Amino acid sequence: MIKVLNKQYSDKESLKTLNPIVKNWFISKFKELTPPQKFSFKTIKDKKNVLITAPTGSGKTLSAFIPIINKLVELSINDVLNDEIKCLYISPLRALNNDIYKNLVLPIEDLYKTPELAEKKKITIGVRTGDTPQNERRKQFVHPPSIFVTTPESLAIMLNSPKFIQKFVNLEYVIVDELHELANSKRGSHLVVSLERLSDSIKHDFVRIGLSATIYPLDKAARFLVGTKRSCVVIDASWSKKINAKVISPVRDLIYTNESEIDTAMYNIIDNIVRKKRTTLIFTNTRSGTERLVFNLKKRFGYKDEEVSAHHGSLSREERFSVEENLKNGKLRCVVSSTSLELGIDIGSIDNVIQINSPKSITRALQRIGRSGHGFKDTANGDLIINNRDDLIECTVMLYDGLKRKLDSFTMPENPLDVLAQHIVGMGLNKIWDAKDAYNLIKKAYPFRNLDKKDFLGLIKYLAGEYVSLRERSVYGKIWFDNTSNKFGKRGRLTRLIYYTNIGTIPDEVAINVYIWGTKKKIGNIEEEFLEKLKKGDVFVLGGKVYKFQRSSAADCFVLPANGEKPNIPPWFSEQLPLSYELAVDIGKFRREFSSLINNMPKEKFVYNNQKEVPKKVKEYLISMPTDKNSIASIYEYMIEQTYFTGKVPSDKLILIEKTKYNDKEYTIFHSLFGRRVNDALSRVFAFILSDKIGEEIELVINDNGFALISNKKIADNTIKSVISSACNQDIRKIIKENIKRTEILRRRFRHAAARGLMILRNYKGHRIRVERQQINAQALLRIISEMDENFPILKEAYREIEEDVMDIVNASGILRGIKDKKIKYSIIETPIPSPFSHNLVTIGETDVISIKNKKEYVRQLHRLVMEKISEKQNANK
Amino acid sequence: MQINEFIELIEGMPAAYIKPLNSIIISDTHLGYEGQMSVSGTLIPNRNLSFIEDIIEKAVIITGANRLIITGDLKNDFSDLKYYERKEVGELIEFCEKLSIKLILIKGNHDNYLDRIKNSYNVEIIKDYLLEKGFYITHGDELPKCSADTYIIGHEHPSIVIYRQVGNGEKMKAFLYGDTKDGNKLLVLPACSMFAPGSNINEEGKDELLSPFLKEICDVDNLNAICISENENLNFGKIKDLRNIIV
Repeated sequence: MIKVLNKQYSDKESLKTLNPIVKNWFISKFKELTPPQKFSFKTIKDKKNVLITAPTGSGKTLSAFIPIINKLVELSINDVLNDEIKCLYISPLRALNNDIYKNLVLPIEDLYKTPELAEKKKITIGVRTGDTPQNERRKQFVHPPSIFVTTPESLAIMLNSPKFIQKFVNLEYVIVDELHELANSKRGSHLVVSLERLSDSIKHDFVRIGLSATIYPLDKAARFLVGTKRSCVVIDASWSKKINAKVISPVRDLIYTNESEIDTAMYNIIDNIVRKKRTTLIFTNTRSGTERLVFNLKKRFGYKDEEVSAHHGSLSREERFSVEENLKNGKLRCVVSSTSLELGIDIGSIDNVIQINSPKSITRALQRIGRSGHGFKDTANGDLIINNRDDLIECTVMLYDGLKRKLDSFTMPENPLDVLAQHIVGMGLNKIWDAKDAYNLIKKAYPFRNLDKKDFLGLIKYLAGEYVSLRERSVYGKIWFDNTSNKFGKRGRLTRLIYYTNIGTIPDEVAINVYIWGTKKKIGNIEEEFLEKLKKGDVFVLGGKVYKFQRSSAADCFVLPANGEKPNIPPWFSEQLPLSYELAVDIGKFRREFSSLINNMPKEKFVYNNQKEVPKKVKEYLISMPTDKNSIASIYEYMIEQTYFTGKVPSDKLILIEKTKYNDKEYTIFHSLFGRRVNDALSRVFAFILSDKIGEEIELVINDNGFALISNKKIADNTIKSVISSACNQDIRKIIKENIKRTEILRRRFRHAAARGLMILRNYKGHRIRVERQQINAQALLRIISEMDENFPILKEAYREIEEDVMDIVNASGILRGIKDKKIKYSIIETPIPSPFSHNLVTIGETDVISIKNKKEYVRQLHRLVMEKISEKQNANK
Repeated sequence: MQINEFIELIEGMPAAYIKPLNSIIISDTHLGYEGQMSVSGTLIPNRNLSFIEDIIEKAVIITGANRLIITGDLKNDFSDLKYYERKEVGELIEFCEKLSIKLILIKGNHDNYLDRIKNSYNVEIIKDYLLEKGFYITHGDELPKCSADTYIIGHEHPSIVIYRQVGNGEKMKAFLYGDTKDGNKLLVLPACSMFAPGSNINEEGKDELLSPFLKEICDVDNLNAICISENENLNFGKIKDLRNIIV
């Protein structure tokens, strides 16, 4: 059903599909067809569903629109172009809608200057987002545009307007842009159900066209677009642009060069590139990194404000527009961005992309580098600048894979029940449904193809208020459900309003107020996600000053000034992206191949020496890698240090377990290079079983390359072995669930799911409900729901989100299966001090604590500790 | 846990038993909380009342008390007696009748309009305080009107929090017990409502406290924090020793 189109049509064949007027206009305007267009014109003309993936600047948007415009022009020539929506264009970005508007309106106006069309009814375009004023909406209702541009959220609202739905009855095409962005998120899950509902409402299907930058796997992306019942043609023109990219290590020695020297070297390299090229786009992984870079480039090299600019989400709209304009007209030398310029906005002519630090995924790296090169015939240039040795190896393998077209796959939320809750309410508002029909309709959408009937009915029952007593049902129920006839429909006067004002999947985030402890002095805000990671005594920077974290309440955080102390929480902490699983496994493979190369060489006397010559064999192996000379030497040294230190190098087939001492604590370090999401799950399972076995609380540190279990007592080898074997033979989902029960992350995710699932309203009777209020309500709700029913749909969804979207429980189970089947081995060693591979982990990993399971025991232990501490203090005072 | 010859803090529950009065005392039940939430759009199923009834029933079985004193903030809404409050208060009264214990309600600052319940039920509602055999029982939002051997109050919702070296903290509901400046005894009850986790007394400055009992007639630092765990209570010692403690 999913077919990849391998052969492009000839220009002649493609152009033949166009009406002569459009054809002549197209040739005069564009001279030739771009690669995606060579595939798409005929495919869309043939009314096939199609997924088009192609790089920026390859004429992707027009590859979808030209065949549609052609069709509309034909209607127009025959005077049968009516006031009705023929094409629906959906994009996740509001700003992008404005962009496409400009890029569509102008060509169409140009086309209608052709004498043959001058007298004809024109193709019209309308944009509808949350910001569209009422009079404009009214106009769209009276004279529906031929091409309707909107967002997933606005579409969902229109679906529940019975009158407006009538304007869609002759809809023929739906274009979903930035599919890669949607497929990863609940906005996408929401959208694909909306599309199923749309085709159900207008009682016929339409041609679906998905536009995407680099995405993998393509067949899954295509299924996401068309659902389970339809076929789809895949056009993969993502390789039509040549890529030239490499990893740069700013200095020869990344360990003993001090930080400011590395910084200086890095800025010099950037300056060098910027001066050589016309326009450079620099990506950092964080907003603060963006600001820092812009500041430094101006300060160090005297760039003027109009030459170097930042571009990110917290800038005002006007500022962003002016940066984008300056980019297009070529005034800017360099623009620095975190993620905002990753997506589709037409950004004109970029020569070169620089990425600072690892972008953590092959797909993201290619997407970012692909922003350079103006036309489809240009080469995309990219440089990845790194500043530590883990990043170095990571980025090298990343580019190596990317250049060989090996990508990491996107993660799509499976059966997000909170999203479904919104749709069930929406469907109930439209008409009376047979539950079975509704279930079958929803299952057509790819994210819900495996929807469990029990979960579906659970949701229906929740929405019908069946979890509260009969008397209160009229207050709580949003639908009615009749068990005997198996039908449901809307309930309550307010439900429609609640639906309109609470729809959407992006949660309200709490801005946490930061106060100086003991005073009422507010010094700023931090993100909730950042607060979650803080523990007492952590030092961080806010507004350029240093503070020490003391404690927090629901929406407040209390700190003390800590002038002169060194921050231990980097400002980008909460924004750090997890390493993709596929890439992690490939880095493991690289380590394995490389270490066998080293092991086959005669062992030399090891001295840490900058000038050491890299052996020929190693050079030969690394020369095919996209790296510079500094990098080759650094990789070699890093690998040889670890090999000599531990004798074994952890890889995709070997988990090295290192017992060591650090800061007076016993560390059991698992070198499991599978990415943070997998390690998050694995480490919790191991810590949970271990804590139970030894009756001690276990502290955790996690990063992409491994995790450490930290305890007071040294853990015996046999205990480790029995923990692993016990983990291999248990349902880890159950353990993790038990584990996250009382955590802040569950509270937060539950609040988001409850808001999406219309359990906690964000807006009630026209009043916005403060996030703090939502949070307090969510806490009370969570306490009751988890006591009532562990399988309550919304609670289940919160758990699923943590297990599958935040952690990666699926691949974690795979690793455990691998250990059980002996495909992945482990080996326990003991070291006097942490080995080289563990340095980044023990110093800046994320930490958490696994408490003892039995609450009574735990409180007793706490009591004992407090008594000890108090008598300690009293003795000291004497 | 027996804290003196007259008072027992029932293990694992926010309830005290006063032997000379043969009475159980609880405080701050805040009935009607769920109803109030639902009015603002959050669908919280009713659970608090049955949670509280459970506590009462167990406490009666354990102690054999023949009276239940609720020392204020029986219900949640300041400004009205809402229908869902009336309903839950009524259910609680009937529940006590079924258990054959006498119910005495002492009004708290949330209990305006509570008297309306008297139209439907024969129940004793005390406006200020109950003074019996040297026990002065009141909500605690106003200073005592006369001296007594032991003051028993609610209002404050006390809890304590203990932070760990590794970063997490454990919050526990706690009774506060100790001497007043005049050498009398003071017992502060934790909130009985399942929705009130409490405010951390060992983190709060003295001026942040609610009750004038704690601000004026005693030094909160010298009170003992007796925490409620699972089926047991543990005395964590004096508040002053629990300030800034990390274990």
